[in-house]
Amino acid sequence: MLARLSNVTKRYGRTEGVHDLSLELYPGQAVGLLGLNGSGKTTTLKLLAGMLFPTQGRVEVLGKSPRENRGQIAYLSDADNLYAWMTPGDAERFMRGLYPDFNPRRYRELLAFLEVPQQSYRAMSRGQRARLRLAMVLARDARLFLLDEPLSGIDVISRDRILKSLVLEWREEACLVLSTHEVSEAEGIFERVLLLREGRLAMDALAEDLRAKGQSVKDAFIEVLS
Amino acid sequence: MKPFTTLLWLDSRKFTGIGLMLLVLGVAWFFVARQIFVWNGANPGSALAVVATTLLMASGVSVALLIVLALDFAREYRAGRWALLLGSPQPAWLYLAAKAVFGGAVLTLFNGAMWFIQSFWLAQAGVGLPFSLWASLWLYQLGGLALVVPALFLGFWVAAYIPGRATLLALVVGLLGMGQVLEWSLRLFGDQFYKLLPAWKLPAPNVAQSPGVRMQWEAFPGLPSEGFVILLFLSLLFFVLASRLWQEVEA
Repeated sequence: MLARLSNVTKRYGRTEGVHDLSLELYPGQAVGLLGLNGSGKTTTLKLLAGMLFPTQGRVEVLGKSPRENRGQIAYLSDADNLYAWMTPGDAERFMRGLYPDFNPRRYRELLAFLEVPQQSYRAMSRGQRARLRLAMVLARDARLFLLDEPLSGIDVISRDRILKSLVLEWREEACLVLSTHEVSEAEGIFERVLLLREGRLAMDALAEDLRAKGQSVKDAFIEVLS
Repeated sequence: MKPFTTLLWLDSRKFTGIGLMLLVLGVAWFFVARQIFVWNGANPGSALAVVATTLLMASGVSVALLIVLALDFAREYRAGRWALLLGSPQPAWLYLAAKAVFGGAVLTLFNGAMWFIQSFWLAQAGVGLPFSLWASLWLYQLGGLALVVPALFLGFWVAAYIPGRATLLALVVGLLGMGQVLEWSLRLFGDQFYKLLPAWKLPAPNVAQSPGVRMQWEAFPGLPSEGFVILLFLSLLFFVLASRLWQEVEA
């Protein structure tokens, strides 16, 4: 097992981000974390990334707290958070300096595949920015990849390239958790689906089992969440 | 060394504009200081004007740099950039040390340039200046920076535990809290420990006097050490606390 949430509740003042959430993540899985806005997807990913403390319960990554094992976690925030002056070359220098598991060769291959231009971040389109940030994360040799809405608000071509790059960079020893509400487009890469509703786990199923029942992930999404 | 130099590089890129502004300020002051002697002649009034303005500028830049650092913390948080830094496996002390070294280097370079400009034009007018006066200012600036950088981190992380996220107001409140700690420490040192502190003074300055200018400098007695020791003590305390919070941060 790679990561575990045990009866985790996270409160923000009086609001609950997630409630009594328990789940386990295994190597070799591509997990779709699905839910409507405000369902607790970002909170769950931040808890796994060690960016949030649970109010109750326990979060473990490879048997330790996420903060202790942060070198094994590659987290892509949903924030548009790179420095405006940064070019892809600057981003490489930044990542090489701070992340020992960063692989520059893979990063350059990803930049080429994702067609990221060699210009400053401020001059890039939204899709180009998302692709650059994704390349920075996927070029790491981490065990747990947490991608928060990498497909949100970007053009169809960028989405297609991002999904292809996720498939290309697939590694058996790693686990990928991708949160999205673009269910139909990402459906093909999910092996397991976690559906969140109002901070609670509404469904945990293998995509294969859903298909065996004649359901797509999108059908299950609509059925459970509507 | 690579993570440390990367963080220094990151700060230098972020503050390139400020560095250029300081450069322009230094160059402008070089010519303005000369004009003061040209307009007023080499007299004590001109020398005093140059020295006072230079000291004021150096102190002002020191305070402005701390404000810029505080605003930078708040801006980085709002932009969500902490996820990039927090996610890296580097230890907290590295971030603190890099920020303090960067700020210290900027202050040292600026102060050095100011010292050069002032000494250059005063020498033209035949006036010497005690180096220890300048050195004390520089040391206290560095001491203040060493204190404030960990305090900023600490204030930031403490504020991050408050629902509703860190705001500039929270940072200000955090810094005011640090001011209270500073006051308590001064009392503690004053009442209990000051007598135990070793004497630490800079060499007494050689004050040059120019008969032509008829300017007399009071012999500078040396650098009072207790404030500086308190700054370093508190810096160490905040450094340890901030490093510990980094390990368990909520952002």
